[in-house]
Amino acid sequence: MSAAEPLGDVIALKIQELRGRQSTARPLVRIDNREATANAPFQFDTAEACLHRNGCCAIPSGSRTALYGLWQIPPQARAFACPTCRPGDDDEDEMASDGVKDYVFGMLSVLDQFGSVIRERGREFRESAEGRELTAGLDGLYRNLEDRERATLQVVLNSLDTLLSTVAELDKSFDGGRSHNGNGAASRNGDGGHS
Amino acid sequence: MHRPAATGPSRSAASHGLTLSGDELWQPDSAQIERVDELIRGYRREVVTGLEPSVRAHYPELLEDPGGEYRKMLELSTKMTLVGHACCEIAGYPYDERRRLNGTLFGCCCFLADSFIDDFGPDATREYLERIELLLTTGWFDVRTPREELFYAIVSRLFAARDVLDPILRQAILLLFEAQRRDTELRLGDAIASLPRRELLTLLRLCARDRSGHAITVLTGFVAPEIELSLLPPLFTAGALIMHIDDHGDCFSDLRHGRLTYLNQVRNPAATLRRIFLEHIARLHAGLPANDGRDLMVAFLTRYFLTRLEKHRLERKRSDSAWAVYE
Repeated sequence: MSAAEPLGDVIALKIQELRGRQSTARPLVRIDNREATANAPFQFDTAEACLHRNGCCAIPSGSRTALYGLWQIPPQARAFACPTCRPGDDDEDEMASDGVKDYVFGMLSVLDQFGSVIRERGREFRESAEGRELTAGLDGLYRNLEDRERATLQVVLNSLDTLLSTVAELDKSFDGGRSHNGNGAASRNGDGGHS
Repeated sequence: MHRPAATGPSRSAASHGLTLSGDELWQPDSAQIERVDELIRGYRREVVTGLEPSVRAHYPELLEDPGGEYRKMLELSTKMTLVGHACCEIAGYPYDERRRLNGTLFGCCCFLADSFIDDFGPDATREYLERIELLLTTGWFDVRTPREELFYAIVSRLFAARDVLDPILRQAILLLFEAQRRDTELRLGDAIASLPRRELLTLLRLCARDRSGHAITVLTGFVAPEIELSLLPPLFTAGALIMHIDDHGDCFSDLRHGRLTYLNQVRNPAATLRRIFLEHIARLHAGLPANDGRDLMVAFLTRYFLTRLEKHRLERKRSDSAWAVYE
């Protein structure tokens, strides 16, 4: 790591190196949601400023490449409703995601996918010059906090600890006899080697 | 949205006879045009501060500036920082330092992505498109060169700066990618040669509209925490206009490189661009909320339109330089 290279850049680039260490190729993060948006109940035409139901015959051919899928109609979009298909609340749907649960499963998946590698990297990094510098910096930061800020930080850390314990418990209960890491082996939640 | 802003002598829109019958309210006055110039000068300095450490850390060879590439990157990022300013205020948010940096990073990201697609030959173009699609579908990007390392570092910083899984932002990113791919296929494929002229022009016009229309939406998504749906059409219109203005300014260099655009294929490009400009500005002015962001966007577009007309005129005279106009 060069002196001017931000820590975030190093982490991002190191994460890419993990790809070759997976036993089974799995995505890191999927930004592509083309399939889901193509099936969304409403399509907002940004070229013509018109809100359609999915599949409306009034969508101009020139607008096909400028459509945004919507699952609900925001209040400000009602003014743009297509007079042909008259999109309304009756077709509203939930987006193919489930809010907080997605985050929990996301965390579980990262721990499962990279747990051992992250731990190994963390150990290496802690013992490196940069890691020692960061540790010193964090200690200094903690020392300089006001009492109230320290108390707040402690609450956050305790909450995080509780959350991680809950996640571990959830993981065990979800796991119950079946593997969720996709390679047929029982999940080790980062304890085993993922060579 | 993919070429640097060239800036030239300041003139008001009225001096070019740009009037809309029955409504001239949109025309920026000389103070608004001067504000654009002032902001550009300030952002030019800020962009260097924002980008140089990353370039030095990941791709220091770029600082040697072979072929003026680093300067072009700074110019594009400056333009993107300014357009980001307008977009952020249009969306109703103050353009603070962090948001300005996001605008700058997005400019740098666009410049590098364009270079992957334009500068290394057809095989590399196809391969880069595949690798960028892999990045979008899996998050994996196999970093092979310092240029790619810089690109990935910038992309990851942008992705960390905003909730990239926001439904509008992620769709805008994918729509931009699809537009870029269609544009590339159009350039690299043979099908274009057999198209009837009318169809060809429609295709080229839509391609230009989509590339920059979606790019400005992505930019807005990175500078503003939220985009109201009603703002998407006027922002898309602003982006499309920027692309047409760009294409007119780059007309001769594009033709030299065999790159067809709507504006270099129509019979009377200057008159066509003038008509497009007036139509788009009228839609923008009517569709955007009346605030400082709208005024800045209109003033920038007017300034940009005038300077690119000038660039086109100059390049017609000395058609040996693709980047003839710099301040």
